[in-house]
Amino acid sequence: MDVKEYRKQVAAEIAGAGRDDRPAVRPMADLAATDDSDPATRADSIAALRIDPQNLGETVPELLAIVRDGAQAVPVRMAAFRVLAGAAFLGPRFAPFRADYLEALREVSSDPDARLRESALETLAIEKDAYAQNVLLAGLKDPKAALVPPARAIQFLGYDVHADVAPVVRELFHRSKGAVKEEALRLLASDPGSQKLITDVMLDKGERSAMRRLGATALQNLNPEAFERAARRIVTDEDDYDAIRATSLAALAHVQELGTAASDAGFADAVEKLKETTKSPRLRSSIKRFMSAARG
Amino acid sequence: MNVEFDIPGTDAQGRVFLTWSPIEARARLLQPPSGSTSVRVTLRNRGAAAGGRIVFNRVRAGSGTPTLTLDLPASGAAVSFWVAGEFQRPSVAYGDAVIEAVGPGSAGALGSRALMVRIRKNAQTLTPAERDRFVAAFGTLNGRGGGRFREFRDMHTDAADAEEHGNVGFLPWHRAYLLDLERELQAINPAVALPYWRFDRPAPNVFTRQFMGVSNSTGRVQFTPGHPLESWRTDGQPGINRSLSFNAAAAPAGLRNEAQTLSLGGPPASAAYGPFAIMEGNPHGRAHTSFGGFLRSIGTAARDPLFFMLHNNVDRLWAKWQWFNRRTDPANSRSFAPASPNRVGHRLPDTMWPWNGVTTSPRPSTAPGGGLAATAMTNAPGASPTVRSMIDYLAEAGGAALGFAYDDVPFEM
Repeated sequence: MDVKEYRKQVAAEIAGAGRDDRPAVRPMADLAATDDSDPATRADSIAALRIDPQNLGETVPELLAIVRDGAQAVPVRMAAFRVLAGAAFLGPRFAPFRADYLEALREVSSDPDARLRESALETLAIEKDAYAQNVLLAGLKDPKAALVPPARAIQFLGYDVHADVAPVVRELFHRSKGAVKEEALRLLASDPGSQKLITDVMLDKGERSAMRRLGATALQNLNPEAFERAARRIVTDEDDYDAIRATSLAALAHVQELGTAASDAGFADAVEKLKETTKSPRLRSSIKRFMSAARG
Repeated sequence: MNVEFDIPGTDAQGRVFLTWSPIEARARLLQPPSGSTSVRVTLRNRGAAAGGRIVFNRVRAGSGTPTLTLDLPASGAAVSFWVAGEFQRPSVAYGDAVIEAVGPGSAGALGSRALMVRIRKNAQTLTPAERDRFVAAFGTLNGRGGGRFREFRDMHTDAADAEEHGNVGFLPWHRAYLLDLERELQAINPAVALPYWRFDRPAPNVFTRQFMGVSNSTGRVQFTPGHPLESWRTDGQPGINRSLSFNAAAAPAGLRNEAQTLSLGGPPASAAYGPFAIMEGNPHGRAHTSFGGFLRSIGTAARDPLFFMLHNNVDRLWAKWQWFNRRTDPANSRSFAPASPNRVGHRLPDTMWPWNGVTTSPRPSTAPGGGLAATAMTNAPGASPTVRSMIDYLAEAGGAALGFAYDDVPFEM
């Protein structure tokens, strides 16, 4: 398309949007007009608020008040929370409000509404907030004190792993299944004390595929030599599943690409033979990558 | 008799990459027929039908033609011409764009050069091959947590907030950041260009197990087995935390759309960067907080590979605003704005952390990653870019371009 014609097209699109460059001087005054609206409408109005650097002083305190106000409908409070979280991306401009923001989140972390609790605790955990970490760990030790589901608590604690967390999570790993077990494995992925646990998961044909693949990733980081041994065993085991074989081979290909693996003609031959027999597209893709890396 | 091309920016493997920004190339005759003083040749496209296309001109201009006739001296002296990718005709693979020289009445070509019109594209419409090469390169860069990506992650933390956010340098800093990462990806696979996630439109092809993954009920991203990002690792932890507050088949709510964003700053005659840059809050900040997980916070956002596609769209919006309002010349006071607060790193002549290696106050105490990655394609912006050097990225005012362009933002002089 001719650039001049394209310019006209873009101009028409912009004109169709209406101007949005007026400074948002009193956005909260506009929002006040929706005080009596239904929650969905009010939440939409909050989501549409134009929060700009020049109006933070007016908007942030009022939005924090909405988040804290248990009398407001949850969708309204969640909308205010998301707008505040977006304003936090203004970095230094948001700095004067940050302490109040985090304090409001701590208050909301024990809110009756699960979504608000979870959003607040995740944000606090990302900020490595000690209050949130203590609350999450307490909930793992005593389910009656839990403010979020255990899988999420483990995930949030993963933002800042402390030494006292691993033993609690290891115990949870052994007596849980599903999402809790998976999150526990992820958190333990950087714990040297969990290497045997991780290796066992990777090699266990009775374990879920996703868990075994996660175990492979974790072991490769913890102990690359142990990982290579386990991965080769899996790849050459014709009775093992294609998914874990694909993941293991892709990881070995990466090691080859780095040039850190010793060349092993016997293993390369075994992989070449696998190419002839497998019908799995994922495994074939991993084989191709491995053979390319092995050839250098 | 044949024609030899000399195209600047050719890499060590003889590969050439073009964007929409014209570059000056040269052609010369080898082994001319005896008795001739010059030979008239025609330069033309001979690439794949669906591949990249090239335009030519005798001078540096905002447009070109699909063919160009040159008279090449029999002496072998080089004749210069200008070449660029044809707007809206990018390559999908290396070599699908070809410059060919044919002589009068020739049965075949006198010379040809395969190359790539390498352009940043909408992630939603990538071909499977484009998508796969991008994620493969990204997975290699991450190196299961041990690769160079660690430095990119370390560049975008709370400790560096004042370098990167809340001031006028937000857009130039992130432009340099993306360029640095893209060049590292291209060092792994030179056919890669960083795609953008257009967050004001539905992008169901992005949120798939084959591409950026699908989030499970606990907000963990799932990929197909053997996917290059399956073993993604940051801060010692495997995996990506991401939950969507919107339906993956729709666009997030509450964001300024593209037209609204482009209208920021005023009409073209008076459009100014300062009012435009409020897009840092919306749509940029809102795009981030459309997710739970890593993307939700400045300190963790760069742990998610989607971050770079989100920010590529932010940069594309700036690029499109620059083009539409003719604000690519840093000498124009409306192309940029005074730093507010007046902090180093946000003024036109300032070098930018971490590439400048400065670790004395008020800069952060470490500077990961070294200088900005080099490329054979261009010598701009150099290892230690200034804020100014990021403004005219297509070199519309002359000089060297930065080596990237967007599929929907043209070059125009």
